[in-house]
Amino acid sequence: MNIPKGSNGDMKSGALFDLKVIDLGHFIAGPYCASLLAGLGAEVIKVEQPGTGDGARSMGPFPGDEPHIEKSGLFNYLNQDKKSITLNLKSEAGKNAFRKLVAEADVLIENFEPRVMPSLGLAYETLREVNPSLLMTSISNFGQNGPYRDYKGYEITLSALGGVQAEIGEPDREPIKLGGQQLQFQAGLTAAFATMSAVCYRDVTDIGQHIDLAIVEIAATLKGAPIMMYQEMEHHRVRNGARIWQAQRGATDDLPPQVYRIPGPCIVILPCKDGYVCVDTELPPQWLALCDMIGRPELKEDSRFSWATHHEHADELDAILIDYLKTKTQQELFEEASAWRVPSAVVNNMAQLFHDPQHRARGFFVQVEHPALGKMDYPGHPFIMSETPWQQVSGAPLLGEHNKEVLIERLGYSEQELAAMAKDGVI
Amino acid sequence: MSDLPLQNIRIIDHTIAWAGPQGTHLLADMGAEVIKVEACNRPDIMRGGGRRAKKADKFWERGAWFIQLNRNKLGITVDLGKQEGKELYLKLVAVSDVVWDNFTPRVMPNLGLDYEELRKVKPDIIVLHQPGYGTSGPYRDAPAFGDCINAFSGLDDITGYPGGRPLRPGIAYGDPTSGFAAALAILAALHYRSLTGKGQLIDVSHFEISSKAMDGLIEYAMNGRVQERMGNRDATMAPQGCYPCRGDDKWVVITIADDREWKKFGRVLGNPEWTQDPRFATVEGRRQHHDELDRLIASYTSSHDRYEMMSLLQKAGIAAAPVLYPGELLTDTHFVQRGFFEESTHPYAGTQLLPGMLYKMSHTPCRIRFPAPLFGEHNRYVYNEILDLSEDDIEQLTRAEIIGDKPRFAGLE
Repeated sequence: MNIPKGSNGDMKSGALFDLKVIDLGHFIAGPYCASLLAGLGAEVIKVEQPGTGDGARSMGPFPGDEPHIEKSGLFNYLNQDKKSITLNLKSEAGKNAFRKLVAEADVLIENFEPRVMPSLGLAYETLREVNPSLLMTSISNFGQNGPYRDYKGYEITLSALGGVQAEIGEPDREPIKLGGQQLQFQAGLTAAFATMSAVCYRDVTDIGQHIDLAIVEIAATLKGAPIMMYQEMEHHRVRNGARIWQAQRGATDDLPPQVYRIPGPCIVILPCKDGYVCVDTELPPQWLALCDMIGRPELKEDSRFSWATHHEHADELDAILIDYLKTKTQQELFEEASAWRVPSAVVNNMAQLFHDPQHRARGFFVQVEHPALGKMDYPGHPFIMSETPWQQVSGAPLLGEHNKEVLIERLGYSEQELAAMAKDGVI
Repeated sequence: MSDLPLQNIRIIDHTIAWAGPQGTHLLADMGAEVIKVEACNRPDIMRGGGRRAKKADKFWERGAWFIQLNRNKLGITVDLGKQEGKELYLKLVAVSDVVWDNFTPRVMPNLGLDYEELRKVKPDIIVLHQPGYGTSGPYRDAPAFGDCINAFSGLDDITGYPGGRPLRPGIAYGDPTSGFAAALAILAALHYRSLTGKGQLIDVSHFEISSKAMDGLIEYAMNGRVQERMGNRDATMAPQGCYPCRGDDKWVVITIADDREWKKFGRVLGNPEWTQDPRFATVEGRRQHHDELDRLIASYTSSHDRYEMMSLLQKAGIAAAPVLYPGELLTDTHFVQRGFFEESTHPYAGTQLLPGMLYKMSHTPCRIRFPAPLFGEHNRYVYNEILDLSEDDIEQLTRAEIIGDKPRFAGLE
């Protein structure tokens, strides 16, 4: 079997060692999807616009805040273990080279707005004539059809339309988005899974297909519980600041104790001596253990804090808890609560997350070297596999770094043809 | 009738609550035969999820969220704490492809059902554990629920108003995220097995996959800066915010990506004087005066309908959208026309709309084929038809309380 070489020249191993992926993605969703496949051992060739490359190259962070297309931290994180070629897909020569690449590929990932690929003459229907077994994964904000298909969207737009934003914020203020770019990353992860479901089918049948992912539908899937609850109770969950959403009166208090029935009396983020902690009691025995832990066993019988009425007395409970929490550090509280079997957690900031002992013990962070960025630690494996360990070895490619290797050695162009393409701005 | 992409795969599904079932339902949606394993003394804790008081007849069959998470799956019961139950279970493992759980790490080994044991009956079995912190490390045995992962993974810390406290992000993101990651891992392992004949053991930590989405780690590693809470603001584009519209608790989010869009925005609003203010002509200026801009924009939007704002601005190529509550998605015209929500009828809960397929596949379209299983509903199918047990065997197992169709809840005898 012809096992491709990784971007650092070594033989690929990993669960997807036989797969060839073209990453036409930009920014986060497409490239993250392709990076998961690369880490699982697939060969990934990134096709970028000549001159500027993937738009993420222009987004920081940059060392010392100085922009440079080879020094984007985000780009480097999301494009490790990939090769890069440049192709101007608006030119005929660029399209020809792209089609040659597609002919040999297993998977194509793209996250353009839906009109883009057809406008380039590279819609799925066209590409499958070149390669009937091709799996093309298209990630877009709103999907390949529907009234909002061509609408513009950023993380906040998707968060609003996807039902995510309505449930976050203080009760008396505007709702806010999640920090960071959560939905973009969810989309990339979902796309990797979606692609693999088509790969597994093709393993048995040789049939290629087009996969259509809408980030706004992924968001809606995450909000399955309130969507179902709305149909049961005809009521929306109210924003509740640092505390779990406010319950409607009296619905679940007479269920058996081992049954899950959020919102319990105490799922809240509160300040302690040196930061914030999350107290997360979701089953009655955990709430009872918490009362004992803070030395207030009488609260177990306190009718204010029964499952049915606690939300009316949330401020009082917060005050009682803060009195206890402020005497201890995040780490002390986490250890103590764990011993009492009370679910709790440290509210890590990015510095703490980077140094987190659980992550470091499991080797979650990986040091990767890059010619322009030097050595840095990056988030590594998304999970651990016993037979096919995660591959994260080489830094992201320089723009067009593999033009010669791919266009000449793989696709059969000559040196002269390559020089002409460069002159014409095709590469 | 077209194929389903995963129709030849059988998965033994021990998962409970949200994280695991979210993942197994993705594979069930794609056609895998997912056999949900419960025990009479250990029903899925999510069966009470939702709002049904125990006085309702069979409340454990009525939880709407359970019904959404467990559609397209078969359900059996078996008491794994008893030798006879374990032997029965291992017969099923011998004809299955995957065994998947999201228990805390000591549970499966305590039952004598860890990877080494399962390999003895099926050498190429794929086993996946999906506990909150993974199966190793100092936090391994800490009780993990979804909000804990929100906190540890940094999501709480980066979610909040500028200068405000960390806020709860609405749901426990580690749950579905780890479910998606587990589904990906299983499929990668199945692909590898189809090439090599080898199974393997997989460890999915909610904490790890959630941390992959924290691009603030890169800023910290590179420049030593700690990401701060920014509310609705963006690091580069201004203004971006959430503005009140006509009605109670109605909002629109708007992003002005560059100076060109700022000019278009002014035109859409009818060029009121403040949109021509030179202070706002550049992105630096707009960022500097963001608070004032937010007030001015709100003064315009508050007399407009939120959907009208989206329509007006999107026509001009500006990203805007109403803030919808999850329940409102059910009637939004885009979701409806995409056919994202699917009707499903459950024998006890009735007909509801469930979030449908996470993505559309051109040649193997999938859908909700049947509702979440009743407790022990497919005992006969699995034990008689797949494992070839007789009616007498079934009766004997039922009498010995190894299998059954009624959960035993504490305080409900």
